[in-house]
Amino acid sequence: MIEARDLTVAFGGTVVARVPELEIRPGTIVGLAGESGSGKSMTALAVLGLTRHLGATLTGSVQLDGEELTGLSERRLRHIRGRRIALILQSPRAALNPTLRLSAFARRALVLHGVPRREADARLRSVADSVLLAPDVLERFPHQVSGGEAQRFAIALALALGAEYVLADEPTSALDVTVQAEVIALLRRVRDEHGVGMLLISHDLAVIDNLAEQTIVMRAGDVVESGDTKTVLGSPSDPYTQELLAAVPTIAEGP
Amino acid sequence: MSEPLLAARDLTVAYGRTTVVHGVDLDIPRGPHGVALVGESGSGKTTIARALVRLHPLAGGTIAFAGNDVTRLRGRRLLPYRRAAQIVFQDGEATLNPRMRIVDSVAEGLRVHRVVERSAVRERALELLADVGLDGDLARRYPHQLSGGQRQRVGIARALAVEPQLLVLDEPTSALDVTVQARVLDLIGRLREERNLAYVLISHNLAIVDRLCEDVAILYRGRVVETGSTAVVLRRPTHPYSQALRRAVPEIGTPLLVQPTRAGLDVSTSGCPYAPRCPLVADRCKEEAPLLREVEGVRVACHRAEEAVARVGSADGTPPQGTPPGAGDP
Amino acid sequence: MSDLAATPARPRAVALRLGHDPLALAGAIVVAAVMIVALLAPAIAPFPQDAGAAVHPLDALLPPSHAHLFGTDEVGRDIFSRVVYGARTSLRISLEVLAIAALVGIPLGAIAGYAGGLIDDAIMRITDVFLAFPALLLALALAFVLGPSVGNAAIAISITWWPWYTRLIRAQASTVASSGYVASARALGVSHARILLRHVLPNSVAPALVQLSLDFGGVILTAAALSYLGLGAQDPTPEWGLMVSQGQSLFTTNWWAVTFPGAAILLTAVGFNLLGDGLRTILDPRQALRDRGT
Repeated sequence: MIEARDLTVAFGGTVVARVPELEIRPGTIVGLAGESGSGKSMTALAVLGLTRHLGATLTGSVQLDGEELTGLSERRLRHIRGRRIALILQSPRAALNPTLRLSAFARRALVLHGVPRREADARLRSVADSVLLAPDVLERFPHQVSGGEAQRFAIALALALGAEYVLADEPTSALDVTVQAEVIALLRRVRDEHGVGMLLISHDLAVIDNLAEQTIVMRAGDVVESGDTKTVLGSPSDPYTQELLAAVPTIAEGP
Repeated sequence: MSEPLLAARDLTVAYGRTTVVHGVDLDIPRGPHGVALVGESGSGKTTIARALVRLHPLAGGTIAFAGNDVTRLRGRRLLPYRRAAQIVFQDGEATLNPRMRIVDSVAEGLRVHRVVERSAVRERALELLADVGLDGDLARRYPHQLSGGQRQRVGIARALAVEPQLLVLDEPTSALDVTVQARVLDLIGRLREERNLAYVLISHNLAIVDRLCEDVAILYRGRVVETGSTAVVLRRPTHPYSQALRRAVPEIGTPLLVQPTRAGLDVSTSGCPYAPRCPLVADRCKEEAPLLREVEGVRVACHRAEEAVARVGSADGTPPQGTPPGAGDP
Repeated sequence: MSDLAATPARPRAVALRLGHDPLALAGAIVVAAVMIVALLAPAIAPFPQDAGAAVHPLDALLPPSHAHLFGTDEVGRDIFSRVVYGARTSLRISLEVLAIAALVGIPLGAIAGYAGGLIDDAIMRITDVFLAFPALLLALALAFVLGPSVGNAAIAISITWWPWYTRLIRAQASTVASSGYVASARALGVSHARILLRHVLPNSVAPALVQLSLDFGGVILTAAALSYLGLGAQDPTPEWGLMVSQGQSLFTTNWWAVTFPGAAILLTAVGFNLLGDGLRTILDPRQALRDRGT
């Protein structure tokens, strides 16, 4: 389980994210909802110890299966990033090396995390299969694949590395709606069949509703509501959550 | 039936050697009226939007505005059309000159078309900004000093400055937070009524389309695959792609019933463009490209439209048929 | 580089940031000093006539002293006064050259980048032709035909200098031309001329401003080199390069004749360079993001 307590991310004197409590259990998805500036992305970066690269200060505790992550050396954190906790970003190609074919990129990542080369190829192929990525797509360069394909690759890589947890920051926001639906289905599969625990960050409440069992709503750095998704999005108690829900346009059914 | 405000016929647009829009027809009635162009990436919707306002050359087809052919007009003779048909782009930041105060950006159109006398330009620009909710000293700001929603409003104000009859809105709220989006949509709705505006709304968001547009055209790879009134098309989608689109929209309280398919499929070179992905694909579909035809109150480009309609409400998960309301919500 | 023009630079903000960069500040001080010296030359130079045709053969090659701070040259002229007036000469050449470079090069670049297509090709090919001229050979040719002088040196340098600005602006203008706000302006029906003036130029010119400040030093160096070779300023015009040329053979015996004008060249060029570098850092949009916070 990933457990964060009293997590605070600040730039100089300004606190940009304050999360008193966050628990991500294996095989469950926690949704982090909010608009821009809510601090949701910062929270994900804080879990992986990436906020220090931005010059931010971090207080509080983040524990991975009991091991404290805050204050760990970069060396130690690098073992954890990708291998135990994977990060999936909104722009799938942002994390890829434009000069490497996807398969080469994956191979390097796997080898870097201690997987023997021969096994790396086999693993990648089987995982690509489970995310329904055609094998020839793996031989392409990042600019030759679509956003949806790149995102599937990111998920596949996380699985190939054996990640137990995935932090997904707006994984579907840049995708077409039909592609988004498929990625949502894939993420469900990853949770159900591989037991991966996920932190799903999205501004789209419907996406969160479809994937997350627990939901945390953030606004301007603070958590305004958190709990069971059905309750938070079905009958929210916080006025901001209510405002968010009211603002979401829906297709009316019937007259 | 009165003549449409804008009639586009057989629009064909290319980027270099690649054709991205294949013979699209579009009719925009006089305002207040909204027509939506819905599609995903590669559908050609943004290209059509730019072509309609003569920002992108046509490889074929015609555009007639209020009965006049504007397809080949240039320079001075194009100016009246430029005034009559305006466009608001998706990203407010990129569409405003970073070195111009927003009041000057809004005033530019006023000056070019001499909408008001020189001495009254500044005052009118300030009025226009106030009308979209940006008053006081916000007017003297530069784009980077405003929020995304505010910049989008500036874009709308600038377009409305020249008093157009037709407004093309290219994904006007996609880049905005949902609460900001709601307010911009309210603004568009209000302006529509106040100014009898006719608009073409480009969006991938079916809910917004439902709210603001009476008619919708669904685009796939540069072709119209289904078109009709929003009330019918969104509630009883006929074309398999429309159905896939409708089914793919996540909603709170309703679980998404989508099976992931294999990614990396080839694009068809002949026949129906949707054939590689279509659950109802038959041999005929791969050889012969279907044309738009009337099927149960909508126009669909599908050889198997009748069977597709019958699938609505069945086990594949397409939302059940509801009684379509009288007209789309204004 | 293409982002450089995207940041609006307010003069006050720029000046403030300059203050925080010690090297740029040093450069700015040197540049300011040179300009003041040039402006107030008649007041600063103790022997202004020595910057003209006056000669004092009896006072030739006097070492630096209280009366002659930098000593005298081989015909007895006060070197300090000539160095001071030399600042005028150098700045004048730079201004002439860069004015032409900017007034010719920048508009051409803006038009080329905005128009694209055949116009772009035509302008760039003309630019390439001029880029192929080496300043030195051109100056030589001009000196041959028209006789060597400061004015002719300036012409020679100008001809070879403006194409760089066209290239610089064209790249930026091309980016701006495909931007959303230019598309919006076109959609509004704004004329090409107006788009160029109000949208393209203001947003393309930032890299050129940086280049201009760097080039001040560069032109001074080039002019000094030409004069040193005898192709530019001629005696008795006080020009630092010429003075170095005249004094170099005396280096071992009368070190002051070449050292002071040489130091002036060095100091001025370095000053302009530091200032230019500082400006480039300040106008870097990433710096602006850092200042704005996340």
